[in-house]
Amino acid sequence: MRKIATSACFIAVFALVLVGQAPTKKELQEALSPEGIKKFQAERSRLYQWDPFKFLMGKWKTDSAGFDVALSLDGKVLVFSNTEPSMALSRKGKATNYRSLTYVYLEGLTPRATTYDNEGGVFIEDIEVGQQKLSFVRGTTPRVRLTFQENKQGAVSVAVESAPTATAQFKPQAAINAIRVSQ
Amino acid sequence: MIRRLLLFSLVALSMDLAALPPRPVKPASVTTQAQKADRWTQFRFLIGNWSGDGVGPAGKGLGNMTVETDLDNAILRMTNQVEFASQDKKTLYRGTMVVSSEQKALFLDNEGHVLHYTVTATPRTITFVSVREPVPVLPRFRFIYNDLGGGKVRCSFDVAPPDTPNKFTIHVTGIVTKR
Repeated sequence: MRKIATSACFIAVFALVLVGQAPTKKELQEALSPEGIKKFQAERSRLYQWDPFKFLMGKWKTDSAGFDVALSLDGKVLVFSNTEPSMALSRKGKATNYRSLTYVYLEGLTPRATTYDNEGGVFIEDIEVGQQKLSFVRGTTPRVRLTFQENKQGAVSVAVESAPTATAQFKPQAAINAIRVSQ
Repeated sequence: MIRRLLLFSLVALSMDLAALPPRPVKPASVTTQAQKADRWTQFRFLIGNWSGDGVGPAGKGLGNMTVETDLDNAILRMTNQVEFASQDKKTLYRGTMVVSSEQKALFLDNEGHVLHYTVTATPRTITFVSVREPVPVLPRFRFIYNDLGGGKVRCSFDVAPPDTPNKFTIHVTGIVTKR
């Protein structure tokens, strides 16, 4: 685990270099020190509580289909199983039998997701966290953003947006309402 | 981690990462069911339920694994569970490998590891190699599965140190049996 932590620290440092924020020697030493690694592990333990995701746990029904969100691998992964065709947007002509699986995991201290669908799509997604709100953003173009927001307890809305290029603004494509069927 | 991955490879031997067939020329949405069905031809020998045991430097494990396709054949998924006994404790190790049609695989486990693999397949052999890290700290891992016929597969788990990430050496090998 220490190796993993160290690796994650290195990757974080590497990412900083890529964005032009080279870490100082002091920052590097702090990140790789026993205390730094301990902090890292504590933060991972906190993130594995999945607090921002809790409002979405359970089984949900939409007008035409539904989705469910459950913990897997002893809480280290969240799995979204979806049959709602309006969440597709990866291809033209949405199939009525659309299905997708999304695995949410931590890479270092960053929640990330990979979505697979039955149209052969594979999408790596960044996750943006808000107040009772989660957005899954696909980096590939056309970009797609799925935003889950709790309207009231047991009811969420799902906004599906897309943008044709990396710099274009997202435009709404679909709005889905879902009600909780079970926890 | 290495030990567990090793046991994982022995028991699950079937991490049959997808020897995905060539990328379809047509968009996936118009891919025929027949084409989808062919996607995993080279991986068929690994699909099913497996059980076995493995022995590593720090202990031994007994487990089972399921390899199946999902999402209308769009992915191949392997899940495994190993009861691992070391000298001082027992742990239950779980892992999931998802192989997509782009010859890539995502590995996740109940210890929080996230590893990305590339997959290649030739007749009767499937190989998974972990993707090189931008800053190599961890070893690289490689799984090789050879179909021996008769419901048996030989697997090899190889490791390359971070400073020589392409120099793999065999860490353990074994044979597993389909249930």
